[in-house]
Amino acid sequence: MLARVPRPSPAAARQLVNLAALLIIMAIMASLSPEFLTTDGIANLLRQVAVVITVGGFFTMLMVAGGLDLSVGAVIALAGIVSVSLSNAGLPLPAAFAAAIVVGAGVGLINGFLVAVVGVNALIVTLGMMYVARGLSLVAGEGRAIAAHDPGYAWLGNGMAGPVAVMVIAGLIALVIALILERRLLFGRYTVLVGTNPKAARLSGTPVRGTLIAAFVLTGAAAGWAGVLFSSRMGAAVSKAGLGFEFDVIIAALIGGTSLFGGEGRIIGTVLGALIVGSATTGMNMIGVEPFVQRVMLGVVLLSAVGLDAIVRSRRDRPVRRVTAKVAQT
Amino acid sequence: MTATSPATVPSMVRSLRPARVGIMGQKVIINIAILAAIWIVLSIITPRFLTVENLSNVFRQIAVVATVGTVVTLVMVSRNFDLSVGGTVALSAAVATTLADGGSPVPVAMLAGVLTGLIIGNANGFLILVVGINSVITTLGMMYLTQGTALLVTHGVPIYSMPDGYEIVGAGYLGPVPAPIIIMLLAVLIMTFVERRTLLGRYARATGSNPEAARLTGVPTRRVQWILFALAGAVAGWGGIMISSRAGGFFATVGEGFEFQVIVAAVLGGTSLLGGEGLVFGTLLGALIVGTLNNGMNLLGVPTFWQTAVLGTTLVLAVVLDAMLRRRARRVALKVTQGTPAANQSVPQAGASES
Repeated sequence: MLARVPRPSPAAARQLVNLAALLIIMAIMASLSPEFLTTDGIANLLRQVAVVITVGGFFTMLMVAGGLDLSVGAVIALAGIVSVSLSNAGLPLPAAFAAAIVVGAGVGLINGFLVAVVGVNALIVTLGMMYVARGLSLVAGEGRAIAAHDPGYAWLGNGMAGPVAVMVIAGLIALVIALILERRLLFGRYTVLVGTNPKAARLSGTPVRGTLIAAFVLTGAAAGWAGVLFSSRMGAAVSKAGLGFEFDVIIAALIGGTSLFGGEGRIIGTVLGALIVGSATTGMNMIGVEPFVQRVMLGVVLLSAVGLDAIVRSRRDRPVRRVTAKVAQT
Repeated sequence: MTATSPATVPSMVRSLRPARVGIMGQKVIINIAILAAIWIVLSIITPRFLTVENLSNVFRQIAVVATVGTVVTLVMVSRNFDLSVGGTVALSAAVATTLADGGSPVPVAMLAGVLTGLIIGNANGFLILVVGINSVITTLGMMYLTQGTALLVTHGVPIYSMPDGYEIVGAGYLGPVPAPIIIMLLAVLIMTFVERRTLLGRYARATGSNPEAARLTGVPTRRVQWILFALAGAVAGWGGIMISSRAGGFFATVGEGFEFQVIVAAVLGGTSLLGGEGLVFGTLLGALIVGTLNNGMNLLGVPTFWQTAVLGTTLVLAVVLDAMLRRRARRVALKVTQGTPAANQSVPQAGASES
């Protein structure tokens, strides 16, 4: 039974709408700026989207399970500082990277424990953890940038593997792992069950707490990996890295059709959402739109996307309501 | 009624009521105790803490957060969020300072700021209650919109030359008392009155506790929520006036992180994120705790970087404590209902005998 959770077709329709929106935005940007559709422009876009996608896959599953993590941006800063400091202290790069991922997973474990076991609201726990992690990274970095001494450190963020940036591949690896979890393993089904109806899920034998904690840990670990990528791109760890990143991810997920209340959402939607936001912002950068205007546009895009969704949803539900009203009359 | 159930109904009422009132009462008492403990410790550690000047500083620093927090508390009680108050503060400050700088009379500029907030609040209300978007997302989008517009209005350039009279609400004094403190106390008084003595306050609680039940019993839930959002917008607009008045102008970081400060104060004060519960006075206490901690750390020379971490830890500890209190209250309530199975049956009987 678990192998076939029915997927409503509106979800697929939504992704087609998003795909169309993406193509339209790309077409507009390409017509306004000749640089946009060059290899450089595309590479730039993909690199910008890479960090969001790294975290976005796991983040989507967390949201589907009914959770939310505002601390991912701060974890990016903290993990970056950990990995750069350890690498500077002489640790080999893979060990330093692994340590950063472990730190992220640790933050996720605390979040998951407080939410799933102690029973505190996810929004507030992760808001608190955001302050804690940001504060620790400010303390550790003393507000300054810590440059990585190892010349190989910057390879992940700036190197090229043939025509593709290594950073994009690194993001895709995280994304593929998330997609496998979502589509091919029980974990993905569990997140849907837990997010749709935790009580029913528990009664039907789904490990509700375990699923939530695992989703938090995975999201934290992904944020740790994103911190490595971010610091590698800059060649240094900065205390202010990832500021506001949590909103970038949430917006990508929301545009992609993920519900804030759990139970609904697909990773592919978040990827499309990230591409939409990414191509809009890189395009506006190229045209030379002021950053203030960009922020206004981001707000408008977000509101119109979810507004459209709300209208579509209410229209979809209306025939059902009419039928139930008729049944009630008889 | 007394004939059918002389013991069970009163005992049930007695056992259920303290559990519900108790949680808010406990939180207020705990918060006052925490605040007293912090104050005592700080006045022992540093002689500079317990001076009139320093304490007035603490209150002045929390004045805007507490003022806006009084209304946001009711928004949260009605099971909604307003993340746009920070952006509204910024946009209102931008509009008011630009107008005042351009030669408009000070009252006109201030009124324009409040009106800006009112418009944003109504836009929130429209999007949430007519279009039907979730309040977190709506106000998140509005946060971006307003922050961006604020910088657009001012081109991101600080505005410093404020006309005389603009500084009164933020930096002025009424006798010996700073004006922002008076404004804050007025806001707390008015909103406590609204919360306790008006239909709006009761409807907000009813809407937040159980929207469907509230609607079916005739509570105009949509109008209540809309009014609260409009009010929150207007008060946030006023907050922008207070901040820019105190700072003597506009700067690009006005209102940054403000929404979180307000929510932290409300949550520390016992406002539930799930709606239905919260106290305006509790939010004032929450803001005071955060303000005192920040002030104390400044006096002790704690680096600003540590302060962020301490604030986060305080918040996490507060909500963990809250979750544990709630769990205990639930367990007590469960034990009571399981212990007196007759209580469940006696209520409808009592109602039937009355009619």
